[in-house]
Amino acid sequence: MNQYVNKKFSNQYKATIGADFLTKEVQFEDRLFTLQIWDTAGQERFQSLGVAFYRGADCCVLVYDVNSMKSFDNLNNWREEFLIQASPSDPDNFPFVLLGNKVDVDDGNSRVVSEKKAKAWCASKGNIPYFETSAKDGTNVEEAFQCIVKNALKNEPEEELYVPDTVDVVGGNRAQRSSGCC
Amino acid sequence: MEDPTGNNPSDAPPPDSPPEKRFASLSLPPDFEIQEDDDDDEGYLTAVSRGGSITSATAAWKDDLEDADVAPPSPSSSGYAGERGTSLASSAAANDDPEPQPDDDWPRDKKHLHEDDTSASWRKRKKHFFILSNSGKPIYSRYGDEHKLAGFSATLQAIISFVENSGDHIKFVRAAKHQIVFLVKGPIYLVCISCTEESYEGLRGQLELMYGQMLLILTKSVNRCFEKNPKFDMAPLLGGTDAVFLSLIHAFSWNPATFLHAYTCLPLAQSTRQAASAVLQDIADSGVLFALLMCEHKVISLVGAQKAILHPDDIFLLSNFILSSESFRTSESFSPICLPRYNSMAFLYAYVHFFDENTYLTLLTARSDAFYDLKDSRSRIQNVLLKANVLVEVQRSLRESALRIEDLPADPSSQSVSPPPQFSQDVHSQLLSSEMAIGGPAGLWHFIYKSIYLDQYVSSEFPLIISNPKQQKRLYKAYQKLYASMHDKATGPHKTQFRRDEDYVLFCWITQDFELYAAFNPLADKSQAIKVCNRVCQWIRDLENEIFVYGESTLSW
Amino acid sequence: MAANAGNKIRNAKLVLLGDVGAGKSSLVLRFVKGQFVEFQESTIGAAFFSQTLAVNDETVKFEIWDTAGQERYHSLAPMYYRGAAAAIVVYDITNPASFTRAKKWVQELQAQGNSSTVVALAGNKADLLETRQVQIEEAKTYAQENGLFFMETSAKTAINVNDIFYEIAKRLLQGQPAQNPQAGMVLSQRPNERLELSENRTMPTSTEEYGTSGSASK
Repeated sequence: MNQYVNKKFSNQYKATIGADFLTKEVQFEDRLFTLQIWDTAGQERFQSLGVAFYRGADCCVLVYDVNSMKSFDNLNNWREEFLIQASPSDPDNFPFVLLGNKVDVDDGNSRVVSEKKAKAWCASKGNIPYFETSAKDGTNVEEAFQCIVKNALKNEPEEELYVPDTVDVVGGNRAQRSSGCC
Repeated sequence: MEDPTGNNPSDAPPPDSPPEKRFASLSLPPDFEIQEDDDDDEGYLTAVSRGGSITSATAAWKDDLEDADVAPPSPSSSGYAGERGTSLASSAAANDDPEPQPDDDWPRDKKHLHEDDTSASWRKRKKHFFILSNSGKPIYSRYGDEHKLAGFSATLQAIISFVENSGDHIKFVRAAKHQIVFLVKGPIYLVCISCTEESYEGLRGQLELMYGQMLLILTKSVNRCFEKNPKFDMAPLLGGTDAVFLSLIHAFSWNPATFLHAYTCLPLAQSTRQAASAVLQDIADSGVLFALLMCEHKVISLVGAQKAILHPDDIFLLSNFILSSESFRTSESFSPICLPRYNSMAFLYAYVHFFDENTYLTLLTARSDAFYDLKDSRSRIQNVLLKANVLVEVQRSLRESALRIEDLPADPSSQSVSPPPQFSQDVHSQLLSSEMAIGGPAGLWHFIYKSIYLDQYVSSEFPLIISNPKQQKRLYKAYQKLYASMHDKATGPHKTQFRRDEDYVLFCWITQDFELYAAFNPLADKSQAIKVCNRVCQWIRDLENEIFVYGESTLSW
Repeated sequence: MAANAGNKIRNAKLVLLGDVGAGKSSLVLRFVKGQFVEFQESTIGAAFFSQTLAVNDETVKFEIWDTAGQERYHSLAPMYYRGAAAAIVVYDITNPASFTRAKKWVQELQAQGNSSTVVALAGNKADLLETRQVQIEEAKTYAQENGLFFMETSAKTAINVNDIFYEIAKRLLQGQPAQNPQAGMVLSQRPNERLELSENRTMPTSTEEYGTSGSASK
């Protein structure tokens, strides 16, 4: 029952605001990471989600269906959309990961995008890591998540010291109280 | 005095939902609804009374320890992990002691760390508070582990950004019994999800105080971190402050300062207060920005340096911070804190010392090297307070000097002390008069009086009929609503409001000088009630030297 | 530990640094008040304590700054350790991240360049041998290489707690008069006044504070 409710809950978000939201914990090199996954809607039809939506992303995972050429062709659009909207400081090195999904379907007989073609595309975009996955039987899913964490961490800035200001009595720019004085 | 019988245009309850942004296409799941067991925060104990529960906390902690072992949190949050992890380790070692039952009042347990947005219990909570960054990273949640709520946090961010994309700003969403209120403060988003039927303005005011409390701990310098790095994970910077937010949220349901934006004083004989004020004034003249002597959340005396002005919200947030952190009671301390209304950009330094269980001195300075000076100042102040018997008087006032409505002086014009006979024809008159005897004249149960000049309020003791915390909370909620409707910008401001429902008759009267909020027996007679309110105002005026701190003698502004 | 009348009392500012939850406050409370609580609440900013300790016929009055390990206060740490005669850098032997953090504090202190500061490294929670993750040899070696003195302590069982403070006091008294009478031993804030103040007093064995033990941790 709870499952059902959750599903209904999230599907409504997906239809309304264009994404579903998931939390996944991943163990990587002795540390546990919480991934906040924005699972966007619209694999079929391309639509822009806007700047605020992509703010502060650590990694962008592109997914296509190996049985659909259209979904593969759309990858360029999605990648461009992400780079424009998220405008990362170093777009050439921003961590992307590509997943070719549904490799299990029809025992691979309906496959239209070859692994070679996908890898060539990845190479042309600055060696994006590529995984062939099956969400259904779990093939490579764990490996893909490991890679996502690894790539996201690569760009992690050095931990910076929090340096707040302290009040300078002489030259202070004080906030004025709004209500009445005594 | 002017008699406020001239009636008001606002007898009708104010519209519950201001006609702002609606977000009708979203709806919450069916089980996201009111939980019957009323309150989220009943049974909460303050730091004072928590002292005895230290050992019993170990058992309650075990769950969390396991959590920490299995799930060290996200990359940059080592501080958080360290804290939780190590505490677990030591409590595990204590298992050989026979431990009592887990203590539900322990604040870490009140957070229900095992919960997340998939838990039925989490969804049924009546009032959630969230703080998140504008990239959707969780910073604070009243219930549950922030890390596990990452997906939920993203949902909130997406809702806000979805509306932003259309060039608009989301203020609130109404979904059946739930109200979701948003407050955007630069890179920080604050959200309240509530089915408590509080007004939008009230909830928004609470979010403002949450933000203020966060600034008090961190200053607005956090904004710079987000400018440099939108991915910045802010949660670790608030490490160890759960108790502060917990106590703040609890205050929303019992402390009128949270909606009146005024502070309250501990009643004291004028001479006693003057003795305290005089010595604080001496100190303030020697380079202290603010000196505050307080007992719990009540001000005994406060003094500011020339032109320095302390906002009531800052007093409230500062005292909440000090009273909710056990650390301040252990020894004297010197800590950076920010007064958001004074200067939200920067830290001041607070010297804090508890003279006894509930009376404490706070000296605020901009000098980071002032500790030894302040320590010396404190011992001077302490000597004076002891000599003038102030600390003893404070304890006595705490025990005795409450304003009781039974003590309201009789109307000098009519010498009759008995309640007016307005209910005499009622079949239940016997019953009612005995009920009224519990309250005050004309069925008066309770009042709050706020002096607009002084930014101070006083409230009466609760009578027996409103003696349990649930009833008290309900009354405060009614006052909050009354406050919001009186100050409603669209329909107000109003001068008087008289309102009758099944619980009370509520009367509010606002003049240039004061705001009076009074609650009566639900069958109280209007004209009698108004007369009694006039008497209350006169009474306050008679007592003003004892119940208020006066600017002339204590404040330099 | 009592200071005999006529003894010379020397002030020594001592600061505790270390990760959140390493046990700084617990060490201080064990030393100053002889108390221990299983769950010690997080310190805000920094708490101040004082305690005297007799070493042979001399007495050291420690003025102790127990700093908060929270990240938000790191950049403000210098205001607490500036001018300190001694520092105890604390880590938790069951938590390797706290050892890493301890090394960073040592580095920071060394970068301040006051070589007369006595720095002690305390591996706390030494009673938790079963969950130990920082080996004693590793810490010992690190301490030797960096000129620190090292002890494993337990605020819970009181093992080595008084000892570490005693050892610091001894080293301060040995190293002190010859070297630099200003920097280490005496507080940087108004040194003369401080020194005078304490010499005129007869120190009780515990804190000089009034009412500090109020309600908190009994």
